Amino acid sequence: MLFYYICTKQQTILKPKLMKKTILASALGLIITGSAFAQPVSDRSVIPLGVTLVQILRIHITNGGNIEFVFNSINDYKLGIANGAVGLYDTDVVIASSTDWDLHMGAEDAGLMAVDNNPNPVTASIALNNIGVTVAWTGDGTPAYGVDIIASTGYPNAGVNDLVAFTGVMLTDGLMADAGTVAGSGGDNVDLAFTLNWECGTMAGGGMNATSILAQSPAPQRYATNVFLDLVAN
Amino acid sequence: MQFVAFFVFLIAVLIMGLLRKIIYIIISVVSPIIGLSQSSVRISVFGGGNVDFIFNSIGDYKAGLIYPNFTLIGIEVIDAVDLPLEVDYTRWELRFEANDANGDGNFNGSKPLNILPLSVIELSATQFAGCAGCDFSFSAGFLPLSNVSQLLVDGDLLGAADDIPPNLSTALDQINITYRCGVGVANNILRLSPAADYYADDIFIDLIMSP
Repeated sequence: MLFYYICTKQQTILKPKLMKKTILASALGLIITGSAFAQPVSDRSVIPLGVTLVQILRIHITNGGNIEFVFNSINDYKLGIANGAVGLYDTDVVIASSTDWDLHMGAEDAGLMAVDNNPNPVTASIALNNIGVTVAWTGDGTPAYGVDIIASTGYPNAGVNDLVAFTGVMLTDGLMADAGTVAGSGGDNVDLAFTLNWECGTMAGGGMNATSILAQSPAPQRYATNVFLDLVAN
Repeated sequence: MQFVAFFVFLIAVLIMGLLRKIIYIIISVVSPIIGLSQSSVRISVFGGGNVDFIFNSIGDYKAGLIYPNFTLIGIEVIDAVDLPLEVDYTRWELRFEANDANGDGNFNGSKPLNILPLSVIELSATQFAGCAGCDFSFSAGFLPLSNVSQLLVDGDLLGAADDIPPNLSTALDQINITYRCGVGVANNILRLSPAADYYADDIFIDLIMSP
């Protein structure tokens, strides 16, 4: 009886506290057990990876950076000065490119301008089409390493073409264009090399002036212009 | 019967006011056991945790770049007694994939239109230390990076048999990862002719243990 009374009394006092403790203990147990169940069976590491592509687009004239035609005989005036085989009227060019590219070529002026005495500096003194140029590919690869040489509208002929004015538009002054092949046109200066063979007053066709220098009869002095070679990424 | 007896005993103890002490004893004794006895895996990157390929010469573009044994990772694989429910893990594998957020299969440059295929990057894994049960045949050559998880190293050398234990530890079992970029005709950067830019992404290396 006494034992029963003690138990009942204890029960009455302890019940609310007991519930609180039970709940707290259960919660703690669940948290710990939950943590145990959540132990990873997989792990992940992250490695950042980057690729930096630096643009490489360079053109170098390695030889013949200054071309001078000197007319000092009647034969020169009558027939013009051909390129010849000695390379004196050749310009060697190399290109290094990390991307596909196009090449523009054209004169700075509308014609060869008289440099000593030009009463009308805004007008051409000698027409540009008296200058002819032929492109000879000297780099690796046949055809020319993914480059289209002759289809560029500025210089469409396989042989000699007349020099045109620089416009920056492939349609009118494009010398070489990326051919759109899978291999592309990028490469180093061993892959991408060519020679420009110049001639003057030869009336050789391909758009060159059909009248001789003699017949055109320009005043005797020095006539000059700059030729731009503009390499652009395609 | 044993369970009923235990329950009656528990009630009696509660009545006697010893509940708090008992609960503390149970928690302090059982929880450490639960916390310690669990299977787990862990990857530690000891070196080469940031890879950067820099193409600044035509030679780089033509031949590509290779970083041999660039990343060193340690792997921990532990098959312990799991509580309250034991799981017998028998194999593990190391996998990799690109974090291709937009799912286009490409690296993206700083300009959105500049892209570079993930596949120009290739990975290969070799043993650096320990890792006796590792099968490197899956990456004996080079595997192209993609947004699909691929097996790099297989810890299932014994096939149907249980490969774990022996457990592996990061200090003793280590793997080298070699990277290459733009190597081979298909991956040639000159041929692909992407725009000059900085292309970046993350590679996920996952260590997975399974029964």
